Amino acid sequence: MPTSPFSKTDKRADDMRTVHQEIDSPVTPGRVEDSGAVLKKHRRFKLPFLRRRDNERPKMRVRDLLAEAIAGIAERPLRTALTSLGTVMGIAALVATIGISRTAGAQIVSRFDALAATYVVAAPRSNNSGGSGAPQFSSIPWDAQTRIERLNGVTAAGTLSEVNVNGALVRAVAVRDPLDQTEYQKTIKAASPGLFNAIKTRLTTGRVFDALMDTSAAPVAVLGRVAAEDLGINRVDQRPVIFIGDRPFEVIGIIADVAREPDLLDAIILPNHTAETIYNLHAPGSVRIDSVIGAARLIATQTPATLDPIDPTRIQISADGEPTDVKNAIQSDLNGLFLALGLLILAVGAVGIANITLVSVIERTPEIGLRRSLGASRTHIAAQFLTESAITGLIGGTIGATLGIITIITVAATRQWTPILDPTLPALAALTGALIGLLAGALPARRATNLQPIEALR
Amino acid sequence: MKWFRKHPADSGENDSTGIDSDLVMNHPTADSDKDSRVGQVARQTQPASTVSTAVANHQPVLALRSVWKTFDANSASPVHALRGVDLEVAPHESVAIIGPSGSGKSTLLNILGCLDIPTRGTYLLNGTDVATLTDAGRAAVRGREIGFVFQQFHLLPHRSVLENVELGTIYGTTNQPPPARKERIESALDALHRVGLDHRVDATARTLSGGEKQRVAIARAITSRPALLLADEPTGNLDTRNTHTVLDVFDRLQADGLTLVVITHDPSVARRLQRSVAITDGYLTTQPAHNCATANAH
Repeated sequence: MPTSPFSKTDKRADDMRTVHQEIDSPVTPGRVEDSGAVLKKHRRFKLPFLRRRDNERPKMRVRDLLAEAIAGIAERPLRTALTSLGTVMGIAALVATIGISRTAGAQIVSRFDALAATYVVAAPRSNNSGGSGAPQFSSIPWDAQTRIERLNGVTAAGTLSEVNVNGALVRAVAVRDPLDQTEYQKTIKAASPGLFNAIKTRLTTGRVFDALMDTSAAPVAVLGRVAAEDLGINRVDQRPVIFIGDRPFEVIGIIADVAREPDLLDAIILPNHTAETIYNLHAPGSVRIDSVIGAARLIATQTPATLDPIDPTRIQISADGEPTDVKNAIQSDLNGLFLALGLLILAVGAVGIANITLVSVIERTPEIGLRRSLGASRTHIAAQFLTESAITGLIGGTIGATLGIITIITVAATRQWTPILDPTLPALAALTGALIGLLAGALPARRATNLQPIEALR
Repeated sequence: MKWFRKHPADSGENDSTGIDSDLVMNHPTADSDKDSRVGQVARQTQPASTVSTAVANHQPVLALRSVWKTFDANSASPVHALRGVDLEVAPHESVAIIGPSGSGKSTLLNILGCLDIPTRGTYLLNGTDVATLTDAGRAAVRGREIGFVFQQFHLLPHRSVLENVELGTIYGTTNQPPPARKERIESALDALHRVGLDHRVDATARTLSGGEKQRVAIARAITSRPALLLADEPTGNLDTRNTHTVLDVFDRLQADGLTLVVITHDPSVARRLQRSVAITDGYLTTQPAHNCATANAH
């Protein structure tokens, strides 16, 4: 047998012949099959993970892939712009929502910080933390207010104490009406006159008690807004009287709002010495101090010695006061709504990208065929469409992040807030856009991959 | 020195293993005599006489050996688009495949272009058995060995002529990585020079005339210096004048060493090539001699 380049193949074909004849189907009209067809037959049943890889596979530079994708996008600028519009709006909404909520949040925090930084609370350290019966000797003196007011940087100070009224109920009418609820369980507090300034009280009507009323143990009371509503008192010019148990107290003022100690809004506040004479308050429970900004720290170190020179360690200093969370809660509800809306727009944007890319794949079917004929593998085709949609998403994300930041700055400027921008937010937003594009491009890319070059070229 | 990539056989290394034409002729066929039509097939694979002395000892660029292509093989009425086709094309040869529509012409082109694989039979392209390759492997072979020219040109309309031609070299293979940008531009410019379009390098593809578009497509096909140029009705969308321009380009390229297979239904196009084979109902038949190429064949 003469040698030829095909002799090897022929030999294989000879070897295989018997096999072919066995599996020969009526379809094959008697010509000899050879090795190629046999290999193909076997290959058809291979599982994907067993798929053979050829020694030589198509290869493309990443830079070329990017260049092709960018050129593909740049060829249709209007379409690209419209495609990315959904992403632009979604990302802008998300960035603006996150940024504005952070800016507003920071604003609230900074206000709260200003309150906290100028407020000092001093109370006796509770030695018998087990709480074994009898009230401990308090080390806060009755003249705590005047002592503290002498300290440099203090703008206002006052004592605040719980008053034990032995469960006595509070009513505003002289006669108990068994058919109607007229009696209420209310917190009774005792204060020195300076407290109202220290907690920045705003009054609805009337006045607060002064030093004379305190020292003379006058039977007067200041009501918090909520307590006054419960008791049905809204004006004091008629000199209304409330009864704690059976003891009458004249209401001289109603508190509208406080910057600190919001629980005082539902309390009845008596002068210190009134509480001392009537309810045997043996000593003030705590001192509340308002200071100028920056002085709170110094005052905090000086207060224990001022109040208890014998053993300053018996005085405990704490920064008290809870922020009023209501406003925050409303804010975060709104945030949730905007966030959900932003995500919705983003999802619509993703569908938009997927849709247009799919149209693009159908429209560019001949181009896909051409690329396949030029030696592009399925992977290259898929990579190109994925890259194109990812870049579209990236463009949308970048523009959206920019618009979002402009919105944040505009809102902050009009409200004279300090805009708070997380530096990673724009980068994250742009990347999210790219990711959305990538996900949206998956289906069209798959479709492009499955196109046979023959069909694509027709 | 030829501009096109040298065929392995050109070096003379393979002289001792050159094709024995007799072997090709008498390729074992189990019962070819029973089917007279099948018996006629493949007799024209004898190398054309003008090139036979130069080519006889050379490995062919492509060799189809009893190739069948059956569609709907498992259905009640399978369609046999190709029925045992044998064909060899020697290096630097130009061959026309002519036939009416529905004759299996496109199927043959798809198989020659590694866009499809035979149902049965062997297809050797530059010594590689295409049927044994995976989809990715065939894509690599397409990129390395074959340049395509289509009737519809398939240019990217918004890109420049140069960019369109450059597209021919961006897909390389693991064995033959795509060249750097500079080399790509150089070879694209060279290819454009060969098709006579130096002056339109920066034009946008969509502004070109039909003839220019097809020449750009040819430049794109040859810029990677393939072993084989496959043209499918390359003049189908062109007027007479542009047809001649394109055929002149083919002539020049062939003189530079290109191997050319043109599928056409136009006899005047076929006449310009060295050799013609006709395909009818899936059988390849010898074309009546229209030039000296087939004069000595049997």
